[in-house]
Amino acid sequence: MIEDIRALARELLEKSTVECVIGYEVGPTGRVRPAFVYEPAGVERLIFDARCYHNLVTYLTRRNKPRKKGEEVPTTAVLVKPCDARSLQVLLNENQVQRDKVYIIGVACPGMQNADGTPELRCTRCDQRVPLIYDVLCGEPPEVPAVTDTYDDVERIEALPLEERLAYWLGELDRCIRCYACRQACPTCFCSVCEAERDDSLWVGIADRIPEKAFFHIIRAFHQAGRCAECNACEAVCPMGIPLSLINRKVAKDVAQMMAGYRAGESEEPTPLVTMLTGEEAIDEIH
Amino acid sequence: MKFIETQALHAWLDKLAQEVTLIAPTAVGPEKKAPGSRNPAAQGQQVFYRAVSDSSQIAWDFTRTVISAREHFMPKTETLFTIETGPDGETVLHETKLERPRVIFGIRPCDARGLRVLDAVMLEQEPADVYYAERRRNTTLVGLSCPQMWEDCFCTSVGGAPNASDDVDILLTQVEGGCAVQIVTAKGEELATGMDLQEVEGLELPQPKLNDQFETPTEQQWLASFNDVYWQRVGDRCLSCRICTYVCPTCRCFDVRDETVVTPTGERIVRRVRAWDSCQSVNYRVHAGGHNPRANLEQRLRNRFYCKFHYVPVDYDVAGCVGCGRCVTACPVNIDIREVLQDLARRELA
Amino acid sequence: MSEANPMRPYLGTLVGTKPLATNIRLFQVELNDPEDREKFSVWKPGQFLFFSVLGVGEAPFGFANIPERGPVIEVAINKVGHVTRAIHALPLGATVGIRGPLGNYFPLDELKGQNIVVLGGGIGGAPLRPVIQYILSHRDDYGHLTIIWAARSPDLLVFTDEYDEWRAAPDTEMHVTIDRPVEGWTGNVGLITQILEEVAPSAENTTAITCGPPIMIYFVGKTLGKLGFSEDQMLTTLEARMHCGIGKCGRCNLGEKLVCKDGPVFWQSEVSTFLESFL
Repeated sequence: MIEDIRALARELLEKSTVECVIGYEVGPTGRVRPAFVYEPAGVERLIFDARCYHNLVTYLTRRNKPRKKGEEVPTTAVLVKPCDARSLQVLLNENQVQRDKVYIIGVACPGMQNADGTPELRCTRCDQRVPLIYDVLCGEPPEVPAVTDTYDDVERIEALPLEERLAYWLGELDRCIRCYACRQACPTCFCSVCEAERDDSLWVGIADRIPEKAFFHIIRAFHQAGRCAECNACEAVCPMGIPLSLINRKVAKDVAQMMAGYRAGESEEPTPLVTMLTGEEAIDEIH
Repeated sequence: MKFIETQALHAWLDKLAQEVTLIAPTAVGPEKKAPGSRNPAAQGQQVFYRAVSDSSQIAWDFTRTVISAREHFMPKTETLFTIETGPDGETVLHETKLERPRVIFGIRPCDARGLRVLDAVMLEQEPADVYYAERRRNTTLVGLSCPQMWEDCFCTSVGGAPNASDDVDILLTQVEGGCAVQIVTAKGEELATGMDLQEVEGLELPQPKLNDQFETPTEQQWLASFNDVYWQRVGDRCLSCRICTYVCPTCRCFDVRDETVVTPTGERIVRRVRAWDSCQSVNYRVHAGGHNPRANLEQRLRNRFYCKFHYVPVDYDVAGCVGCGRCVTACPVNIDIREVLQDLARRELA
Repeated sequence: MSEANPMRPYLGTLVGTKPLATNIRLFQVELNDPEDREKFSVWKPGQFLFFSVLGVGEAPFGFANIPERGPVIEVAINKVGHVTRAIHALPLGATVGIRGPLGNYFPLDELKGQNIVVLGGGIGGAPLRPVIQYILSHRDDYGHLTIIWAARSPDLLVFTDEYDEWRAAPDTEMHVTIDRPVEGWTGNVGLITQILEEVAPSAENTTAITCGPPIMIYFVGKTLGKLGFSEDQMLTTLEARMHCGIGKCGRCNLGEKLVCKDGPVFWQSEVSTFLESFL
């Protein structure tokens, strides 16, 4: 499979179909990390296996603008797993990425694994092995039994009495340091000025206190309603180990319940929970 | 060599916790979450320097804390003053009360060394910051040597050592049955009067296991690399989050803002606060008019490296990085400061 | 600890304000405590202060006058952000906070005997007004004074009611220009660099002092270079977002220089390598 990916990447770069291929590589101390390959010779660095958990789609919005005024937006190839592809679909629906500026290398997903070789919890809830959107698919999708996400993790928290639930979240959010890594890693959090960081915000100050932190995380979750593809990037990067995807999964569960099983990024229609500006406003207003 | 038995050390700490605010490495958070996760933070409890009420709360076998000890000298948030209205309707600025004396126990040598940078900026460069000065004056540092350099540590490549006593008042080194005690400063001498110390002839300090040392770039290499495309390439994968700056023992950037808060009892408090800020944040340099002189991610990333290895040494004559390795461990996309330093150090100058 | 707390503002009162240009007003503040007034009234042209609306926030501004023209402190403030909006909304008599004087200043003592060219763009003219005031108050100490004043449009020109006084001063010339033609405007039209090339002040025994947006400083520097000025004959004052003004908060750095502590006044030679990244 990796040979297919490398051959394709080499061809795309040699023919200048794309300026850059975003994939995965192993860093000097053995950690898997995003790789940006600009030269055909660089494709040898590329790897793909069950350690490649980063959602690379998050890098596309920043590449979706000319580097200098008047220049064209460069075309980028990106490796996407099924969950990543859903977040990419959200960005396409919201005009954040131009379809003709991204070359989608879909990868058949083996399911991601933890450092100790056990499957990532989120991957045990998912039977999607082929991305819904791609230009080329690499790899043979493994046969996996069908599973349904029961949101049992969310239900466990929902079942707690209010007091305990509050105590749980206050305890978790207390550790937040407002580093915004969750937001920065999230492909569908792309506002140029975050509501939690406006200089003139009446809602949230700069202090490292629970109300500010709770505000940020709850507002972020609401902004992700119907848009979060549950790729787990937020939780994976949190330096404090806060179970952030639980918040987003709670919203995803409610959205699915209210809207006939709606899941983010499974169709080319924007989520019904978001009001879209149309025409020229669309880009101007969002940026 | 002075020595204290484990039991005596615990007894001393228990007593100390009654007299001063005792801050020590302690495990925080639930036994969580996703064992085996690729996120090191999700694998178990994490250790922070926190106020403890007795010695049983101290995590003795920690590697390094998630956040460095700087949070106790430059808190993540502090009130500079409250803005109140006096009896005749006049405006009164009310400054925060002093804290009681503190002992930070178990500070690692690298964290203590990090205070050199904060001291240079906040204390020695006039005018001194009174809030920092007060905390620094009020605090005694009891260091705990690292028995080895941990994963990602590189203190020896930037001039430090896992058992360096230079920046603490007292340094403890764990040995069979207790700790060897080196008293470094007069402040340490005073604190040690409460310790049940023994003099042990021929007690030798264990040699910590070291990580490989590497070359760091020369001044010329830094100067020659400022406009290099290298920063764009490293910046490609940077997420522009603030983890590296918030876990760093020598970062000191802050933001100041006025805010009005209403307490649960309905009291309205107007205050000026300052809180940590980060040069990695896109808004960091934005002028009120909207102009952003550091709008590109690679400019911000580059600033962090130049701040540590060029600006701080040039401006304050002190090394800007202590090699604690926190940013290496915590970076979600593996931007490894050691790799960057070695890449630059390998460059040939034209 | 309040005695020498540099983060704590002096309390003052807003004693006067008048419009200068669209969205730009002059604000006059008198410190409440006579002792503070005494300590404070040593500021020099080029230095800056932090102006607080207590409960809203504080922001840095260059002094717009010299203490001899005091005793009130004058600052020209453009309404652009949340603090400046609050300042513009203050009623006369309001209590405000002032921290300073901060930063370095124009080395006007060293420039005695020289010709001076002052180039101000838009609100950038505000920190240059004390330079002009100082030279006019010590007229015999300096040679020829050339003032080149620019704005995008006539309604953005600051201190228009003082141009007659400046023009009338001995051995002084003044040129005003706007970027694009506007109905009713009979003066110069063109960028400040164009008018500078036309006026073409001699570089001999001359120092040019520039303040304006970074892009203007950059291009004025290039034009001055063409006219024979070396970078050691060009002074500029920069603005940056800052939160302390005393070299602590870290954010105003330009390379290893801090705008608040090593500036805001710089020789072009100190900052030219960084100006491009500042644009």
